[in-house]
Amino acid sequence: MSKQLGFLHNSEKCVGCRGCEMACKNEYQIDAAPQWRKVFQLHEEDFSLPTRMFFSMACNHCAHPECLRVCPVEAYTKRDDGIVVHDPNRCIGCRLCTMACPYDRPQINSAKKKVEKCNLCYQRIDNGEQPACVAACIPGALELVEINDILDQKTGVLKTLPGLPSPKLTTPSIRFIGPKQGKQIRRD
Amino acid sequence: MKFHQSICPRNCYDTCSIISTTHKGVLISVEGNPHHEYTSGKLCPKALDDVKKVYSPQRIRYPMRQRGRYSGFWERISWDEALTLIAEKILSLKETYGSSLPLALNKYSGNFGVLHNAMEGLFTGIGATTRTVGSPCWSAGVEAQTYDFGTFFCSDPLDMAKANLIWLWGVNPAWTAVHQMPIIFDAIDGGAKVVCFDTHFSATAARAHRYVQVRPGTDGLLALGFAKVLLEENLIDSNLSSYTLGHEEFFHYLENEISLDNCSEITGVSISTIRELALEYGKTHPACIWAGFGLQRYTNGGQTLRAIDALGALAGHLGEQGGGVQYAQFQTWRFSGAIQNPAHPFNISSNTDHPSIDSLTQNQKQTDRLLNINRFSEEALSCTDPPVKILWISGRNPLSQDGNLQQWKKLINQLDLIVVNDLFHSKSSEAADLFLPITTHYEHWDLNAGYWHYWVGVNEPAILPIGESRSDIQIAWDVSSKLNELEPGSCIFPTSGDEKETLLRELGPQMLDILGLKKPEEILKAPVRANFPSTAWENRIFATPSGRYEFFSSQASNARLSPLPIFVPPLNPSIDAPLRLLTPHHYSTINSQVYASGADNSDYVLHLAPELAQRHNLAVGDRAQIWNKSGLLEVVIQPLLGISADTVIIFQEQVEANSPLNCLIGTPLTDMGQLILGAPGFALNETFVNLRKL
Repeated sequence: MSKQLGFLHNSEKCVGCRGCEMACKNEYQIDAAPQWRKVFQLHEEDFSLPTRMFFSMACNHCAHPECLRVCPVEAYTKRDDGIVVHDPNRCIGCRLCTMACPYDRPQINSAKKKVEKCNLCYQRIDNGEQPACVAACIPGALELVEINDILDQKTGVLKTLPGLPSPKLTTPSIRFIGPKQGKQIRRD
Repeated sequence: MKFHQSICPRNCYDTCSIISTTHKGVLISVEGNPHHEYTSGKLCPKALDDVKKVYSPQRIRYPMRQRGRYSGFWERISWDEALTLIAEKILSLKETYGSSLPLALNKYSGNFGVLHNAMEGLFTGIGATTRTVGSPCWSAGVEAQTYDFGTFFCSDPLDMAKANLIWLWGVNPAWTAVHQMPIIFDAIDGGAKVVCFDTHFSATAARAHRYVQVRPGTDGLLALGFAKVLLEENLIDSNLSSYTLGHEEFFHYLENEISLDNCSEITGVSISTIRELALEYGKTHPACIWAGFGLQRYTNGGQTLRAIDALGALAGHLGEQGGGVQYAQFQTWRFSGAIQNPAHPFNISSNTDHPSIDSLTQNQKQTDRLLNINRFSEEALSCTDPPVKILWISGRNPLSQDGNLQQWKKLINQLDLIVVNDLFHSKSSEAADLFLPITTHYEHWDLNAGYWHYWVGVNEPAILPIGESRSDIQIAWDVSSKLNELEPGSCIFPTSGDEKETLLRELGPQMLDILGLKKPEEILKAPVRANFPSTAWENRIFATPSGRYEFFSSQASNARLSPLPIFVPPLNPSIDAPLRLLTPHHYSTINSQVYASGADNSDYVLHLAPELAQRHNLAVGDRAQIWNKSGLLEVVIQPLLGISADTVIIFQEQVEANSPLNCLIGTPLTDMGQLILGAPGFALNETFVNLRKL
C-alpha cells in the first residue's frame, strides 16, 4: 500500500447540520435507512460543560479492516491508496461485517438484502475530485487527508474522541480536531 | 447529462443557488453553485434531499377530492373537474352575495419564488376578496429598523468576515443559516471574538468564545443596560450629533430610567458581565451585531430591536465595514409586481415603486378585506357581511403553524370549499375538499431573491412536471380560463401565458438598475448580485424622515409607540402556566417543511433543565404532558444542560402525532408591524405551559 487516505474531522467547525449525510445520499441516491455516513452528537456527560458537539463518521477505511477479515466471500478489497471497497455483486448479505465493525458503518439494506458502505467516492477521487461529503461540508469541518506521522504529530490532532471504540481494534483512518469550549454564562 | 440553474425557494436566510443535474429527463443530483459567492458550491441537508422529494411516493401527483373532511378518503379527479368545481363555486357565491369577498386567500412563504404571486394576481383578477396582511415571521423587527434607519437593510453577509467582534444575538445560524458559519469561522481565524446571546445553549453558542444566557424577552433591556455602560464610560461615538437624531433624549432615558441592578435582575445577566461585554463592544471596531428573528417574536419584540439598533448606533458601529446591526433586507425584492396586479380598466395605477411584502397596491387595500395573517381564523370568523365561504390555502400550512386552532376548527365548519395546493398532504390538507398538486422548483420557471444576501436569480425547470402537477401560475391561469369560459369577463387575470416571459416582466426599470442589467434577459445567464455597497449605511445617510439615524422617531410616536426605544416587559408566566415554551427551528425543517429522509418521530421531545425535570420527578424518556388553556400535548422528556428552569423547548421536528404542536399556541401579537406590514407580527415566544408527569 503506497498510502492511506482517510478523513480529518474538526468538531469545533462541525455544526451538526447533516449536510455530509445528505450529500452522500444525493450522490448515490441511496434509501433513507442505510446511512453510509452519519453525524453523531458527542455525549454531553463526557465533558465538564454542555457541548453541543458533533462528529461525522462513515467507513473509516481502517488500516486493519475487520470487515475485510471476516467476509466469507471476499466482497471487501483494500486499494493501494487504502480505500476499503465493498463489492455488492459478491456480497451475500450475511452481515458478518456489520457485526465485526466496531463503528457499525457497513449497513444492511433490508430491501436489497445486501450490505452497503462508504467507498470513499473512489471514482471521484480517481477523477481528481473530493468525496461528495467533503465537497459538501459547508463549514469546512471534514477533510480528505493522508493518514501519516506528519498528520499525527500536529498539535490538536486526535486519534479518537470520548465514547468511541478503541482505535487499537482496527486502526481507523480518521483523525479528529477536538472541540474547544468557550466561556458559558448561564442562568440554569 | 444536462445541468440546470435552480434556486432554493425555501423561506431561509441562504436562498441557495443550485446546479441540478438531469440524465435523460430524470433529476439525478443537486449541488451548490460554486460560482455563487454565498452558496459557495454547498447545500444544506434540506436541499440535498430534493431529488428524493421530487420523486417521493408520498408526493401528490393528481388533483384529488376528499369525500368528507378529515376522512382521508381522497379520490382522483381530472383537472377539468377540479377547475370547474372551483370556478362554479366562486361564481355562485358571487351571485349569492353580490360580492367576491366570501373568497379568501391564505398564502405566505412556502415557496418564495416571485411567480407564486400569481395566486394574489388571480384573486385580484376576480375582484375584491378576503386576503391576509402581515407576516408570521419578522414584522416587529422590520418596523423597528424602519423607524431607526428609515428602511430595513443589512450589509452583505460576507461583510461579517471583517468584524473583530461578532455578537450573535438570538440567532442560531448553525441550524438556520449554515452558510454564514464559514464566514464567522473566517472571522474567528482572523482573530475576531464571537459572543452568542440566546435563551438556550445552541450549536452556534457552542462555537462562540462566550455564551450569555438571557431571560427570554428581556434582550431589549440588556441592550439598554449595555448602552448605559457605554454612556457612563464615555464610549459614545463622538460624531453622533452629525448623523443621528434624538441622542440627548435617549441619554436622558438611559440616565433616568435604566438601572444596572434592575437590568441584571430582570435579564439574568450579572452586572460585571454587562460591564465587561459593554466595554468590549464599545472599544472594539469593527463590531457587528446579528439580531435574529426569534428575538422579536415577543409582545415587546419591536422595542427589543430598536434597543439593539440604538446600542449599535451609540457605539458608532453603524455604517462601519464589518460592523452594524444586521437583521435582514428587502431591497433586492423590488420586482415590478405585474403578476399580482393584472391590468384592469379600473385599476391601472399599480404602485410598482414601493415594495411591500404582501405586494398589495393602495387600490386593493381599499377594496380587499384584509385580515391579519396571525389571527386569520378569528378575524375570518368575525367577517359576517358577507361571511368567508371559500378558503384557498397556498404556500402555507396554517393548521400546523397558526395559533388558535379552536377558532380554525370553527372557521372550517363554516366554509363551503377549502382548496389546498401543495406537494404533499399536510395538517391543512386534512381539512381540505380539494387538493391541487403543484410542481417543485425543478419543474417550473421562477425568479428568486434573498432577504439576507444580495443575490437575485432565475430558476429554470430541469425536468417535466411530475404526474399531472402544475405550477401555481399555471393553476392561476387555468382558474381564470375556466371562470371566463363559464362567465366571460368574470376574471381579468390572464388565462394563459409563458412562465419565462412572465418572470422577465418582473424585472422593471428599478430592478434592472439595482442589478446593473440592461435587459431582463441577461439574468437568464446566471444569478446576479445587486449592486449595493457591501456595508449598509456606509455613508451614514439614512432613509428616515430626518435623513439621520433616529433614536427619537416621530414615525413611532405617530404610531402611538414610544418615540425612543424603551424596555417594555414581556408577558409573565402565570400560576396556571408557569413555564415559557419556546419552539425554535430544527436543522432538519423549516416550520412544517421537512425532508423526506428525516427521522419519523412519533413523539414531541420536551427539552428542559435537569433541575426542572428533577422537580417533576422526570427522567430521560419519561412521558409527560404539557398544557395550557389552548390545548394539551403529550411529550417525551429530554433533560438538557443550557436551558434555564423557567423555560422548556420543543424544536420544530417532524413528528407524526395526532395533536400538533401549535395546539398550545394562542395568537399573542407583537408591538410593531402594523405600520409597515399592515398588521402586527406573531409573538410566538409568549407561550406558556404547565407540566405534569404521566
